[in-house]
Amino acid sequence: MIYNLETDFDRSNPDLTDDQYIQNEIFMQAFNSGEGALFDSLYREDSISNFSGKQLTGEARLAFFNEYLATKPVSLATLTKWYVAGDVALIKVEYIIDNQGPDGRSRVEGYCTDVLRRGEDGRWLMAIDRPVATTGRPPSQ
Amino acid sequence: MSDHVETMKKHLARYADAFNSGDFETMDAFYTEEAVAVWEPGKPLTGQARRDFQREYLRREPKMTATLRESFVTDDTALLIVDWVIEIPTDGAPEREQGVGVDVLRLGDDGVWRYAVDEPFGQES
Repeated sequence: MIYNLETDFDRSNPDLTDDQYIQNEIFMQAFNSGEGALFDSLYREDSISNFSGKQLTGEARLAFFNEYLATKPVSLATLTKWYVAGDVALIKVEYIIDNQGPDGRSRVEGYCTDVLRRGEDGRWLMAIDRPVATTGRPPSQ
Repeated sequence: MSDHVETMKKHLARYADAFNSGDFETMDAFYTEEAVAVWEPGKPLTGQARRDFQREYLRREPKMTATLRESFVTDDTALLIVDWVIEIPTDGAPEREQGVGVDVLRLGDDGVWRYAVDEPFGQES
């Protein structure tokens, strides 16, 4: 699988689009940018991220992304399944994340179940993410 | 958060009752118009194909018990992880199926949560 991690997107008003490959590329780009606010802008206000192992939304979610992405983790995700049902989609990816902790690098591998929503403005954004680690430990654990 | 869990437990209980009633129309009211159901792994069905498959399945009089394992509930969209067991009567011992379902629900304008994606074998364990 060749990724185009140069996929252009509007950083001030991102749209994950209805193309599951572009979704994945924008998601990885934003994650790997190290910019918590940029990554968080892929989520809706009420969206839930379980990345930390807790269900975070709103300000708490942004605070977590700011802190975690500042450590410059690098993710690589491979799309395994997607279903689109009107204005909502279920996406599954397998991921590898290389974390840079105070004790050096550590790798987490697992799969993630994501729900995306198309808003009234037509933009597709993250509604729910649920990463499950199969090897290694998630960032906060 | 706990309110959401209770809401989804009740939803699941009502869905199981509808499923176990064997009445297709009652169960179909739990799905959005565009819903995708993946009752056979790798074979997503929508629209009339979904309805035909589910109607035929209910004719075998399956009985389901479902337990909510995890729930993630936003204002109008939810993800549920559900342990389920289905027994289908046969001439001998009942046929038994089980799995871990991954379900996406949407809240309708009428305040009713409905399945947008129903994937009974969505998670391996």
